Amino acid sequence: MKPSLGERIYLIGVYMVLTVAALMCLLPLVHIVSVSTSSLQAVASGRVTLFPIDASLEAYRQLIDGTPIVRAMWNSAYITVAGILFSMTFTVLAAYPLTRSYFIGRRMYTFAIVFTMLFGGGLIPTYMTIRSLELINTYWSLWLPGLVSVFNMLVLRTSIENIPSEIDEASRIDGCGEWRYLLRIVLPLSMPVLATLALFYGVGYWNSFFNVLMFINDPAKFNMAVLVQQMIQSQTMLSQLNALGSSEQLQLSPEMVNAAAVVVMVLPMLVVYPLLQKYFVKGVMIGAVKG
Amino acid sequence: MKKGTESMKTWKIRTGTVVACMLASAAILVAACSNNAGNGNSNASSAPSKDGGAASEQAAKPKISVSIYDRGNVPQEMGTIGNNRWTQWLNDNGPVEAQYVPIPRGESVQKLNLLFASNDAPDVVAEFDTSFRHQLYQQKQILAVDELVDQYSVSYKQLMEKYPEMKKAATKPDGKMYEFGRVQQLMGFQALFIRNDWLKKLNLSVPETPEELFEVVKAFTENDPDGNGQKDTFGIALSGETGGAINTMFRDVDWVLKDGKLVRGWEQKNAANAFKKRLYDAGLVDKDFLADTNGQKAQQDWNSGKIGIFVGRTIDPVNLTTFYEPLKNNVPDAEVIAIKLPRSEYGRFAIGVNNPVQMTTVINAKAKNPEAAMKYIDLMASTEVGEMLRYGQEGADSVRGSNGCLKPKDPAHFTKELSWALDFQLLMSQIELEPCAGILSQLDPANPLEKDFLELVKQNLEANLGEGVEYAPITHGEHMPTLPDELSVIRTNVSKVADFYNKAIVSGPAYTVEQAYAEAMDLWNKSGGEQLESFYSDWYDNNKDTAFLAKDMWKFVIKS
Repeated sequence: MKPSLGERIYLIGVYMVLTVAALMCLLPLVHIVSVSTSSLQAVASGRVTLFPIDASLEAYRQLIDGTPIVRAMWNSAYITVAGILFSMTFTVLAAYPLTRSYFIGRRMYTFAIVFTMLFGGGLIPTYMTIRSLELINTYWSLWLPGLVSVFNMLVLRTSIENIPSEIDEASRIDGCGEWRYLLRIVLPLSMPVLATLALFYGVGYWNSFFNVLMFINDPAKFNMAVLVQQMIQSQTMLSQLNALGSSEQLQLSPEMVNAAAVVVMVLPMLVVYPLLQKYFVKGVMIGAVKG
Repeated sequence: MKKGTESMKTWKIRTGTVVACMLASAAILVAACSNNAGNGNSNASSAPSKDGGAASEQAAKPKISVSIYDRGNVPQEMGTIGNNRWTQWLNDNGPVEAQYVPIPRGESVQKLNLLFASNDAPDVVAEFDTSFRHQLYQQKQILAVDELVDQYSVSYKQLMEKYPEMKKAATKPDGKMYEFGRVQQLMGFQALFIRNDWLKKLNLSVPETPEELFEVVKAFTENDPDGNGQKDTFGIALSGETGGAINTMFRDVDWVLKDGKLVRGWEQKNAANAFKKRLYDAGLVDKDFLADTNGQKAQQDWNSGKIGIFVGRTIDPVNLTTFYEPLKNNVPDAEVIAIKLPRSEYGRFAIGVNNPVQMTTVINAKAKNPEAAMKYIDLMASTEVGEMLRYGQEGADSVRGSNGCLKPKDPAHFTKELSWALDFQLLMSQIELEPCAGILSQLDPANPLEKDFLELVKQNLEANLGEGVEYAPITHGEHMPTLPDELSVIRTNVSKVADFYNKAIVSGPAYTVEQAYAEAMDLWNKSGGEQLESFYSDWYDNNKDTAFLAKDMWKFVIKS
């Protein structure tokens, strides 16, 4: 069926808006990639916009030789992978019981958990708690305080609640216990949600910045977010303050090296998104066909 | 019977839940234990390398903790900022065993605040931010150090005798000394660069007054100085430090002396902004200068030869690669000179100079061993250690150049081994390493670019420190008094004044500088600006004889 004129105008409008939105997201990235692969001369003269000029990978070589980026990348990967495993495990273990009608005190627990969304302890009390638990300078200070994101847990709970009770009954009749039901029925049926939540957690851990800054003291344990921010921040601070002594000026890493660091940091997330895409699509389909 | 199975079922389910909970807690325990084990391992493996060969020797040394800025720029093979060649050297050769607490440079105040609030702050704290150190003083978090210096110091005490201004700068309102710092020669920090080849081509002379400056800027914009047949040049930048220099030309530095009193300089502010508005209205500057918040666009335009007058820096050899080399690569014929700021009706002022006596370091009031902390500071302030941290081992890292000064042996090697270690020099008084440490000895006249830049440095010394040039503010920003909390709130509230003036610059006839001034005065009065006025004027009345003022800075002028 051919779309009518009105539909066509509507479609053209939609495509235009989406194209503009996509470009707004894409262009800064393209610019950063170009800066990172251009020569210092071209960058310093402001000639680099969308395409690299005097293309070279010199910035990446300087980045790898002159900064601890490789170590930071491993740290980021470690924090992220372990963090996803811990967080997903405990999110599932928290969400499932809260969907069972025979779980006594369900409302009270839910309330207690949701309550933590509204109030936090503040930075210094949190720091002191972490310190008393002797978690300072360990990655547990990143994993434990945010082990279960309440929002993610509620999303998963809602999704589990939507599994028809008939499936539950059928499995019980076949002699399925709680664990088997959770592992064999609930989790496979929740794959799209699980993939989404894993991605949320993953992005969160990959980008974790403030907690690393505050709770980790050993620079050998810093992750990429902190490292990249340090490199860029020292440049901005320099241009803001006239009063700085000469020693501060020498510490500047060239703009292309900073851009290269940004690229290296963003790349893994860019790679992961398309891989998980199919689960998102499935997630949309699941609710669509009923009966 | 039926009831029985029912309760059986619930019981089973409940057991299931309990088991699940127990498993969960067991998992946490296992996880926590494995973490400890992991930690233990990593400590064990890193311990030997940390202590090196001198483990037994160090056992007797007192231990202290010391903050060190971390900028994420230590090459991976050199270790970390807290544990590397230089920390080992300092611990092997110094009287104390220092444990370094890395502080991320970008968030240093926040991190230090956190550490102080939770009693975890290091014994020796280095921080550039004057108001943060003052806050520590007000909260009684740091030690008064007069007695420590008297009793335990050798090299720092000598420095203080040689440069009594150090004590002046370190003394807090209660009359005691709380801070340690470093002394440098007074140098031209910022430089007003102008394209001399453009001046020559258009037959102009170096501008001596704002009016002449306006004419030069106009010619630079309109008469195609780069000869490419297009009107694509700007006479001057308004963003970044160049905009600041125009303010300085009119002594628009917020607080100025009038009849012996320190007052708010509204008249100067109006004059500076009226001049900027004139430049803007005549189309002589980048119309988008407000979007160029850190001056980067202007810098790029300067590098590509599109701006005729621009403020750069001449304090460090690295400035050559930022402000001169790219321009010469793009425009090989470019000829740059550093000129004096034109003389306005308010006087002739220095463009910008460094802080010759910079305070950097304090001792935590909770330090367990203040004596050891003092000895550490003494170590870091000594000339020998300063030289070692700046140049590395003579022979291995540096060699003596033809002028007898140490120079990097191999630039790549030097960058890797030393250039990131500059934060260990926060107590190094560069003036003691002169004449070798300054930029004048660091540039090599045999290299044509460096020779040119050397000339610029000399011109800029004259422009900033020559006869008849005054310092526009009463003292360097780091020596201005720190506002109490309630007054900083007021200062933040009145900072919107700058927006009114910026609006006036870009709005043409629709919104004049007079209107901006009226609106600014209104905001100033409503927000309690007169409290700021009385604070500064009282401070000046009470402290003008003891405070570290511009005349003290000028005692550190280079003597050639």
